[in-house]
Amino acid sequence: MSENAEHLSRALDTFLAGQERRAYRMAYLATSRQDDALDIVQDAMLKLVRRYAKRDATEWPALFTRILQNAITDWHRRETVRRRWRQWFSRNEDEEQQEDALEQVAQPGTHQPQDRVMQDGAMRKLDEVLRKLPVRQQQVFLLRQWEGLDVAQTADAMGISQGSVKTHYSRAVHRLREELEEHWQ
Amino acid sequence: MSKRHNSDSDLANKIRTTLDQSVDDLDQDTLRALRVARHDAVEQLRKPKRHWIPLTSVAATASVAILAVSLITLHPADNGMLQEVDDMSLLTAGDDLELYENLEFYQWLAFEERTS
Repeated sequence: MSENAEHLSRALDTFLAGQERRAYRMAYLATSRQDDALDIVQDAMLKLVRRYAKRDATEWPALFTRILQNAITDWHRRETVRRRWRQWFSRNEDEEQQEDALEQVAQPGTHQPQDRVMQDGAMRKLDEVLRKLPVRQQQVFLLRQWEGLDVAQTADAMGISQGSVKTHYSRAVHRLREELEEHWQ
Repeated sequence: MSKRHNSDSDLANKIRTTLDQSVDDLDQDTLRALRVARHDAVEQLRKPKRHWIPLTSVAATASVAILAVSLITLHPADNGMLQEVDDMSLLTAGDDLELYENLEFYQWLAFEERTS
């Protein structure tokens, strides 16, 4: 490996090490599944390295955020399709076949029993409320408030208009205030 | 500054703090999995680029396609099935799988069988 490649490799490793935990939490909140969240983060890392390693390092944060958001959106689209297939199977197959088909489809919104992230009531409640938000509202809120992106950066990362970002953000804040304020008093 | 603004700001701060805390408290299994994922990703830089399609992915995609055609054949009266075939491009989505183009052929084949 050349010196340049070694340097690039180290730089990417450092960058991804600084992103992976937050990325995982965002994916986990969006999917409620530990394994799927890990898959999403791993795919995002692979894509960044394969496609954009040679880009200037200052571009990596925005690129990684966009890749992650695309992966989350794709996951939700596939979940919708899986649900449709499951419904189709349940209409058309006999009971035994139906059971087989359903075994192939994970239930959306189920939570891993080994979820050990939540340590106290406040965290548990926040997790619960964030996961109940529509995914667009949830991700807009996280990008704006947690990642510190502005409206334009959030719109770019999610591939939606700035107007939509403002709407989703406003609704998310309203919902979070409603659900959390009393609990966190 | 309005009371509501302060309240929103306080809430946002509390949420950020809580989220930061949740990241710090991730369990060891998850952290290990993330490290492995990162290592595998960065390792790509050391490997020469390959453009072959993984055999398992081809087999999985082909199986799904054959299943879809079979189902359509068994249930020709179900108008929703062509939509379901469309869905497969999402279910089997991946980067390097050019085989997806063949799904259009399977869809056409299913349509032909239905209408013939």
